[in-house]
Amino acid sequence: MSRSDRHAPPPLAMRLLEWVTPQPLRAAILGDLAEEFASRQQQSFHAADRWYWRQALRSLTALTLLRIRTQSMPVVLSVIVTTLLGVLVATAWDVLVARQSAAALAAIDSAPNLVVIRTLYFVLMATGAGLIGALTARWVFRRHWSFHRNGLVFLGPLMLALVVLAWVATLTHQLIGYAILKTTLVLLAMVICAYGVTQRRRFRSRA
Amino acid sequence: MSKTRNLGEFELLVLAATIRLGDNAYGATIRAEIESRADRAVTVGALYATLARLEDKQYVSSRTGEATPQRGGRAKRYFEVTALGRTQLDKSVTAMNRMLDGVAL
Repeated sequence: MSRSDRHAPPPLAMRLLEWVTPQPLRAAILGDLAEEFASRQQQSFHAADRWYWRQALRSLTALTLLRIRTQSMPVVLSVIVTTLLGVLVATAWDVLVARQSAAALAAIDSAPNLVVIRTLYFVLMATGAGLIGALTARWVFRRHWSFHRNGLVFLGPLMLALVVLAWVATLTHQLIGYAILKTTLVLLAMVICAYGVTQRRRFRSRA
Repeated sequence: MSKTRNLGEFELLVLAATIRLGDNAYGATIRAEIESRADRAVTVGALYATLARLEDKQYVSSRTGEATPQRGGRAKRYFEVTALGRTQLDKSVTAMNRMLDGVAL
């Protein structure tokens, strides 16, 4: 493209900004830059290019952090929290109810409809975990709640919880590995919950 | 003692510029206002990160405006300082003035 017929900002810099900018602000930010770029390029194409690149590069850190804070972090954390809660609930059920007595275990194992019972158990636990996780995420990130993320907050964790629950079920016969897994998950869940409470307090203090 | 912290220097500049511009306060004009009046280079990233933070605190509100060909068909985002934002700005400026009162510069 020749310099004389060009009206667009440097495409690579624009792509870079599109990639790091949070979606709700993308049009406003790129529009502002395009507006100023248009007025600057009337004086000098090269200077306008340099100015645009400078803006893009110097804005990278701030926009990336903003995107993580407003978009990715709530979703990622809600998925982690939900998954961990799902595993913890399933573990608690397994330890406190299913394994409480050998007689109960034997009764479950000898039930003719074992596959149906276990399937229902997994679906129930995963659904419960998904709902608990979604409500937790909503409570923690209330100020960033939006329709766009609702689907991710509900469906993503539910699917993950299902997968992880099925995975944990296969580990139940390996008691040492299972114990290590449980301990690690409990510790992780505590750390994430503590982080969530901190975030919640921070949001409250801003209001 | 108030639990809310005072505004940072850049937050203060952004709020003041937004109030000065009135109905025409959007990213490009706020940036230009700060650059011309405060003689301070401002990147679009720093500005929008600050505006997002101020909006989280409910010190500013925003609305989507018109798109123009010059902007590549992208809509503007207009900002307005809320009553809470004005109160906080006043408190911060008052605190700063009290601190500077009697200080020889």
